[in-house]
Amino acid sequence: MKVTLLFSSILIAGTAFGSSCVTQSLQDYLNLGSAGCDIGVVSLSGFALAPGQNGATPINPLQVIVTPGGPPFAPTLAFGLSTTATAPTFLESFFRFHATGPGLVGNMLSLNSASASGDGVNTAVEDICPGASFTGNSPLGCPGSSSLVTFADASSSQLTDFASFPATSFFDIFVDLSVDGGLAGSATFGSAAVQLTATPEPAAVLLTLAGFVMFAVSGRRLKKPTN
Amino acid sequence: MFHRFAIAIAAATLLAPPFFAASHRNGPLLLEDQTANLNDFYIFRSYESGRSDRLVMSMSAQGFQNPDNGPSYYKFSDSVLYRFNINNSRGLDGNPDFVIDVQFKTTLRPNNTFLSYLGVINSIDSGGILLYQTYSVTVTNLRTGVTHTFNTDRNGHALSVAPPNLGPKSTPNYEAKLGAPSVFVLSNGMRVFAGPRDDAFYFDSAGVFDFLNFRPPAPVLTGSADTAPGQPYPAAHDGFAGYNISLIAVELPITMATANGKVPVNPKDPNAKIGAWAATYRRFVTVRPSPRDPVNSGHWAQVDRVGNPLTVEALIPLPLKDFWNRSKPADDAQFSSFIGDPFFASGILAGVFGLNVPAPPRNDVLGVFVPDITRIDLTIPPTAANKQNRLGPLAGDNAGWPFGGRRIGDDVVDIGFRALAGVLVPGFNMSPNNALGDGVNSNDIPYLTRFPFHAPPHAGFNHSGIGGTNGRGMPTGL
Repeated sequence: MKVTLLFSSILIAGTAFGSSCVTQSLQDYLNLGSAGCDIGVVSLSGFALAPGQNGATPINPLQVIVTPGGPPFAPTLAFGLSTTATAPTFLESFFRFHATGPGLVGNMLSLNSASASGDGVNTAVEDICPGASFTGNSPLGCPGSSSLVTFADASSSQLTDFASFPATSFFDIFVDLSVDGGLAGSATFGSAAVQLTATPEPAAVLLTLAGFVMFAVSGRRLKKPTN
Repeated sequence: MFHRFAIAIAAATLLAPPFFAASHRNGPLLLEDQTANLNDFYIFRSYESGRSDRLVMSMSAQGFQNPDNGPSYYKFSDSVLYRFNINNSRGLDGNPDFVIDVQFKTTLRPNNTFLSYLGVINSIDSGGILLYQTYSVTVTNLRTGVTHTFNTDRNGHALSVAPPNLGPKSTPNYEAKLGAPSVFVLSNGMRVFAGPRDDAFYFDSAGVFDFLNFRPPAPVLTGSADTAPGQPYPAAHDGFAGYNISLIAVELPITMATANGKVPVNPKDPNAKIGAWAATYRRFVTVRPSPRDPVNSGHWAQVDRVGNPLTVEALIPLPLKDFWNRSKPADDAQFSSFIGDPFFASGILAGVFGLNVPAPPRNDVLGVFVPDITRIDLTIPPTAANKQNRLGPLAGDNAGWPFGGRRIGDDVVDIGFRALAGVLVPGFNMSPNNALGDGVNSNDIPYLTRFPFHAPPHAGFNHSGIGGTNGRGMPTGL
């Protein structure tokens, strides 16, 4: 029993850091504070709302459903709005969080189930500051930052965007989701997903492999009949 | 983290030359977006004969227009919203209560030439105006939600943009035939104008940008050098002489601009003062589905604003200029650390020239620039054109910047120099603080004494770039 616990702890140490993220509202994620939660090898924390754009109506964070997923080294966080805005309504959910993990090297943003009519448009914008933090509570002041942009209007769309970075252990991330009815149109926003890409560090790989090997060996020993 | 950022910005600013040019070339992103780039904003009680119960606002865009830059010359952008904002409540907090939106539409009249203007154009309805622009004016009271849109004047004529002043052969007698007829009266009594005009701003930009290479006796002006019109060229070199701008001007009854719909007469009336600024917006998303034309979607997002002159030029550090241009006046307290300790005062006036200036925080500066709206006391009667003093309230002419609005001819550079030197702070109204100036005391050509007040545009055929006179004395369409 003690051996099994030891092996389990080694395996967990190689892949995760704290409590697992679960499907709940953005408000629940805001309430996690600095403790945050984990998806695979990546820890997400520090969720906070940011001041939105001029004229935008903030979307209640209770109405934003956050769904974690993805494999350990490519965790995904989907933000579901399932909201429609008709002109001149302009809805926005603007928030930030921190991602911490081994060898963070990429970030992909995708927009799902979005449609628009007239001059309405849906946008999802993600700003990533690798290895440092933005200044203040807006995505400014980070020289190495990247912006990912996805949108869907009545006639065209860009549903995914991607950026890669030199390996770092920290991302400061802003996510800005807007459902914009325009001046004479409408927009329906399903969800947007942020996918992080982590490169396993050699030590983490070895630790994880060690955990699996020891589990396997332990299993064989347990199955071996006693003489 | 913010503290470290502020220190980094301050260090960078110490190495940068000052910028004093109204708002012609400010904000790195606006250098790439000239049609949305606002230069100056003016608001004043009309000093046109018999119209002192009217308020005039104008904004200039797309500065440094070379008058001979054909064949297309310059135009307003169809995808930009140009907005006048008036704040008349809540102690002037920088939030708009009343807005006037101007939007343009370009029509390319069928033709087989490569020209935008063809033949003799002696009427605003001339078919020779091949690149023909019209505009709409939308007046919205944000507190009541009442909106009126005007696409024509009260006689049903389209609100058309004045064509450029090409020269005596193409646009003879420009102002009488094309300039003045482009002033339209709307059915609500407002008057409007849109089109090219002379840039009314004047300033020795070349000298100052050459790392404070003032032309003597500047920067300390005495005697005739300190009285309008100042010294002639080349002693005074107006970097804006001979250039045109794109002007949008509106004239409205004062009663339209106040919260209670009345003309205030008592300075203690809470409706006596209003604040105003201009801003430009573009749609949130632009898609370029080549080979089709771009498609614009979503709400209007602010790309530039101008309240007082010199704010973004002289008070906001370079790394923050684009952010400032996109931000709201109501949020200007976030820039207080820079505005309340202006580098131009502490770093240049005190640091370089050794002047004794007030110590920060500069509440006198904060009171004007936070929020950055041009304030006008509507109880101050307008000063007749021939009685105006370029130094405005600093010389006892209270109907000028910074307390009585901003008129076309206010010498905001010299007023700004002196105000930043502390002349409005007790104990600092002394020489040389109260004698600072760039040496240019007047515009290159006379202003109009009627709406829209800006002088007619310089003609392409013969302008200062050709004559080498720095614009002074060059004929326009007057």
